[in-house]
Amino acid sequence: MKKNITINMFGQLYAIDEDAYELLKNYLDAIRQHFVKEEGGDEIADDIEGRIGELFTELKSSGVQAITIEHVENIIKRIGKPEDMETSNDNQSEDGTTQTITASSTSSATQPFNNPGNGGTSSIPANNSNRNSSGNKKKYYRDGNDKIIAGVLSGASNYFGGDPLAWRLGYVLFVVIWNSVSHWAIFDQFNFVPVFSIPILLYILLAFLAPCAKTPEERLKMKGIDVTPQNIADELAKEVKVKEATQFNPGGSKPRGCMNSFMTVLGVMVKIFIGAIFLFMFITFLIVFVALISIIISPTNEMPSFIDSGLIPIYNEHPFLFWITGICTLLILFIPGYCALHSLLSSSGKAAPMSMSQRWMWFGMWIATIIVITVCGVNISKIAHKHFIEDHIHEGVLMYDMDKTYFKLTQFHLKGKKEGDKDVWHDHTEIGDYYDDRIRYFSSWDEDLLDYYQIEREDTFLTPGTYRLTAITRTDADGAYLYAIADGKKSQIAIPANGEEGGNIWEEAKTELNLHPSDSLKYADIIASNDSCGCGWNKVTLDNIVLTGKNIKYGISTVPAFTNSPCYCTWVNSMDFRLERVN
Amino acid sequence: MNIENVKSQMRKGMLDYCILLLLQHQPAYTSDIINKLKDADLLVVEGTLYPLLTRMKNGGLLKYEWQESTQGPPRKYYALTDLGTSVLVELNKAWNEISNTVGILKSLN
Repeated sequence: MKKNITINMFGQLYAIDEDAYELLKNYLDAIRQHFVKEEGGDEIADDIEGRIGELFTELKSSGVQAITIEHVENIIKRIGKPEDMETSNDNQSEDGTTQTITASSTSSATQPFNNPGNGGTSSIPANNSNRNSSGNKKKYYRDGNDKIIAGVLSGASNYFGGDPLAWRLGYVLFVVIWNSVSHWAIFDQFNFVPVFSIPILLYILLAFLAPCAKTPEERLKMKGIDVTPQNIADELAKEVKVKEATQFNPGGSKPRGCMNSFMTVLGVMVKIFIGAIFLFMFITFLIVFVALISIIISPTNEMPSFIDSGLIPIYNEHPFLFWITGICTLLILFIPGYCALHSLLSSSGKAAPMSMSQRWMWFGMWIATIIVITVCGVNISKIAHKHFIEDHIHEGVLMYDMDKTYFKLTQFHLKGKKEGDKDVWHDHTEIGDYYDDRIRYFSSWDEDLLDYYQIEREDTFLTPGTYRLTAITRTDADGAYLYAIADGKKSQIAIPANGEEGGNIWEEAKTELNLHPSDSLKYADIIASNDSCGCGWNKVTLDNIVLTGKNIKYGISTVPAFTNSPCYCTWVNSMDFRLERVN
Repeated sequence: MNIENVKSQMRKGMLDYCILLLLQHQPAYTSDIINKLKDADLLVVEGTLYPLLTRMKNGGLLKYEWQESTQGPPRKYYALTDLGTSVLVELNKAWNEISNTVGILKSLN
């Protein structure tokens, strides 16, 4: 039993077996291909097609109900292989009709077309031997007829030789070994790529990019056999036989049954795995899509909270960068998703499979979007970094937000600083080690910076009189001073170098606690926070600051040129500055 | 020297001339031309003829018109053009010369 279809040739309808139609189509395609470069090549091919129509009509009128593959084979033999038909290029070498005619008497060429004695199969010459002859190169195809997932490995077995089963087992082994090997230290360097999945990615890439051998012609190319009408007919007959065998003898493959079922299970598992990946991609796609839509419909300049607010100024500055990035993100997710959907549809016969050029186009687009998104991302992060740095330059140096706020609140300025501080992050304030862990204080925790360290505040519109300056400070060695400048006259006092232990604050707190038990909360806190041994904090007092004008500048300095004494300390902390008028 | 090759070369060279000869008295369908050439053993595979006819038509030697067929698709009905006729006269002359030459060469032995 064979499937039969009706074809239309120049307005005439002919019933033809499906395999015969395949053969005929391949033959006509080959003819068209052969004459494609010739002037009027289409006309020649049309003429030949018309001739085939004529011969079909003859068959019809001789009582043939349906054209079979044998009929088509006979017609192909009669009309000839494309390579037997000269093109104008072949002809140019001849220089006129200078030969005499010799009427050959062999009449083998005239062959009755409808020869009932000629039972089709015998007309197929059994020459499979012209493998790789005439430089017909083998081409890599996926084997659509022998596949577990996409036929990549059976294609490889056709291309490189060997048994498909061996290739499959080898591949599984390779994936396993690769996975265990890829965790070695050398490979961990490249962790930005999911190294473990490279063999699997290769498979997916080949499954997508390598063409699938579906037509007999492609199957011949896959096996490296010359594409001639005879070989096509052979291949087609073989396929028909295989199909019939599997249809009528489903138990025929029993000897390999165990292996087959194992492979089938493996194939299903891999398909589920790939399906999960695509599901994940689809969900990500949806999320990004929703995010983009919400950006579009949300009021201007507002971004969903899950996008870092630091990006908003960049978005305002370069909105197109974000649009391109957004669109590319969608494309990066959309393209594989679309292709997967398409291949699903085409494998179930609901859509035509993609042509090679389409596949390359999608692949190229995907790579291009990855490149574009990378470029955009790099630029956004560059701009973001620039903005970030600009936002964090305070007092001429790089400062963390907390430090900046603390400087602003206390109205202190960083006076002493080193060249190049603009590029280095320093902690300018710290927290802990005093009262409790919520109190912040100035810090110069940087040995290189210390010779330059000076913070200063200026109080203005003061009433003339005598002032007293106190501050809570600590340092690890001599050289740090608390100073005040009133009427251009500087006075200073050294900060006791207790390091991180002891100090009069703690002592005082202990005394105070004894004297004023009612205030116990405050002093108990200090004692507890100082780890019951003090953290080196001292209250430093600078007395007798006489002011006749209005302004007093005061602060901490370690700069030798300013304090007139060398600096031995490596850090200095200060807080709680108080300027009081004594009288 | 490959005899088959030489023979096929001769046939190929003759084919244009023979087609002109076939069409000199009355026009013919492609299938008629094929059958006559096959009878004369000049054609091994039919496919050879189609490129030739198209080239001769494009060269202005032949013209055709479509003729409806009673049962099959419409067919091309080929005829000589004036140019074709004059080329045929030329080729006839050439053929006679060649034939003479061959005759002379044959009689030498």
